[in-house]
Amino acid sequence: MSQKAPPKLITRGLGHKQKTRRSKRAASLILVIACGFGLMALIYGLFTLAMFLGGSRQVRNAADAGALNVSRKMMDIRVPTDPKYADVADTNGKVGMSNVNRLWGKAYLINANLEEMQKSGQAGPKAGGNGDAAYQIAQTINDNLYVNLADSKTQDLFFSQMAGRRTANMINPGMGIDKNNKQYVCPIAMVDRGDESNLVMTPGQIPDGITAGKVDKGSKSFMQGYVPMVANNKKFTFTSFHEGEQPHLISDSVFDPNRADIAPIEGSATVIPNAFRQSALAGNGQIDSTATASAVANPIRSYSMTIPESYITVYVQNISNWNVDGKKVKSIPYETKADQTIHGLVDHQTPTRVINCFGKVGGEYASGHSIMAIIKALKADYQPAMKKLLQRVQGMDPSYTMAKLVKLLENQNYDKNANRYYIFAKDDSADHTDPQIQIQADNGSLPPWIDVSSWQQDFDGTPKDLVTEPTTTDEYANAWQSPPGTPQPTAKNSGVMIWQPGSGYTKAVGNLFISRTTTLNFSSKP
Amino acid sequence: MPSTRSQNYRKSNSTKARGNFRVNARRASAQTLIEAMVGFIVLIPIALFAVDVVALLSTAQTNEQWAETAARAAGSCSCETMAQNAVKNSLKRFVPSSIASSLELEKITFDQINGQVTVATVMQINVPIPLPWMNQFQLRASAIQPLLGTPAAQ
Repeated sequence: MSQKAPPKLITRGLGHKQKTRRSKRAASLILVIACGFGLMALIYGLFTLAMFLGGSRQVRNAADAGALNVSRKMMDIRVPTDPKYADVADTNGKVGMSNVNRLWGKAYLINANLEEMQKSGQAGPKAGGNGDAAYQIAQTINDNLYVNLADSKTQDLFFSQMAGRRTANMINPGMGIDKNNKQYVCPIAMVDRGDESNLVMTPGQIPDGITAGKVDKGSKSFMQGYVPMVANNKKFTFTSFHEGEQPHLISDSVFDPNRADIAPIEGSATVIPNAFRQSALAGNGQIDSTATASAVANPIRSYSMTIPESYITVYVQNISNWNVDGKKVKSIPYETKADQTIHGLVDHQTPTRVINCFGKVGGEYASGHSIMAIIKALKADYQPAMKKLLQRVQGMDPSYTMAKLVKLLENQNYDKNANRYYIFAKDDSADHTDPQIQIQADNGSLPPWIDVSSWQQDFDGTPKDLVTEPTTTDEYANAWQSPPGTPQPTAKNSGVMIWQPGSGYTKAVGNLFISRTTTLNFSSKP
Repeated sequence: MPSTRSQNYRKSNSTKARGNFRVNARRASAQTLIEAMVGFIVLIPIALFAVDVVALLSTAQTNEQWAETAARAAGSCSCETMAQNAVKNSLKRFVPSSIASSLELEKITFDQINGQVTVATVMQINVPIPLPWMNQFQLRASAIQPLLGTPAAQ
């Protein structure tokens, strides 16, 4: 037994070693194969991850470009305007995001003028209706534009124009990037609330007693965006557009709190938005990659708040009243020039005798006969009249100054053949953005949009004395008669400036009526 | 005696067995070495190729991003000349490396009618592990962006 045991032991030992050797050989082979597969799996995994991450970035870039394109192309959406607002439309007679503030600016000025007229008790019977119509027409145009801007098909089209031309090759080679419509999120927002709009204004163009929200930036003032303002009991909201900015991407933390569904603008459900959100999607059947981007629009264009096609009239009247024994016998208009001698009553038969009456009138115009001289001739503070004129002129050109207005009126001489003088903005630009303030007599060449025949119908305000001159005796006029009478003839001179406002809805924004009266008193008694 | 003989026998047998085992062990080690070497001969090129693939993938994405950045710079300009300058200035910021040796503007299409600009760039790549048949690649990327610098129509 003891002799047989060792070989068994050896055999068993050799068998064990052989088994171990086979195991090692297998282990090495398996290890190599496992390492190979592991390495390849790792490489494949990393490759797939890199491709997915790269693809995600492609989708993000597509979403960014798509959102930017939407915010830019929205400026091309335009709707027809109404004839009442043709002067604030673009060169094709349409209104879009870029000039919608201009539309509202005109509507606001009309209603601000109307509110002032009401406060001063000068609102005529048509005033209320004109204010309502101005607002309603602007609202209708705004609503038409809003419907087009908020239309998802329009947004999809602009998004696809940019994102659709890109591919997410790293996720799905050859496949494009689509609009992600799987989850609806309100795609419009009103960002930059309280900041400036693209409507330049001058505080002086707002009538007294009306408060307009404005933002000062540099040397310019802009109407405030997305802060409703009230004029004539109506709410006006302007769209914010930062000056000097291009359309750009904004983060969700800026977009979301200003979304139209989360934070609508009070009092206006259809206020024009200025920011748009888009979502892109790319998938290969197994993995979807989505990305969302928001962009704020900007027209890179600003406008002045104006009523481009509006006018002021200046009406000058010099009347001499010829009285005998306190009774008016005759009225004779006189020219705006000094020292005019008028033989007013020729061989006038009185109950007792025949008299000839003479007058030297126009002494108040010794300093000149321009419109400015006529205004200054009134021996009273004429500044209220000048302020009224400037406020309305700044409604045509906000950059206009008092110095320019004075010069304009100084350069216009009185024309005895003219009834009225029109102050208006001559504008040869196609979109009425280059106003040149002019004054022209009604017998001169006026723009075709001024209808001289409908002059009085254009005013929706009622006249009211603005400046009254104290009566002077024998200071600017003299009277004498032949044969002489008792008491001695006298010449009394007085003047008044009357302001008749217009809202601008029917183009007329104001009429300054300058009336000078020289009353010459004669006597029939010797 | 039997115990001594038995011990000698056992001794002589065990010596023989040990010798066999040493031979077998050496054979096994060599075999493992060969297996490992063969394995490495297969695995190392795969790994090296993977390094090249990663480098290509990474630079391709970088090139795309440069094209994107350049297109955005061009998109913010209002005319083609300005756009070209903006793209060149944008690409000037590229710092060459041993892998990405150059980045150049291949083409710029400034389409004012459709309001978009397309920028194509070419990046010269030297793979980190040169392959016998090619060690340089030219990667092309293009990006399209809307023109944002032009004011809205009057």
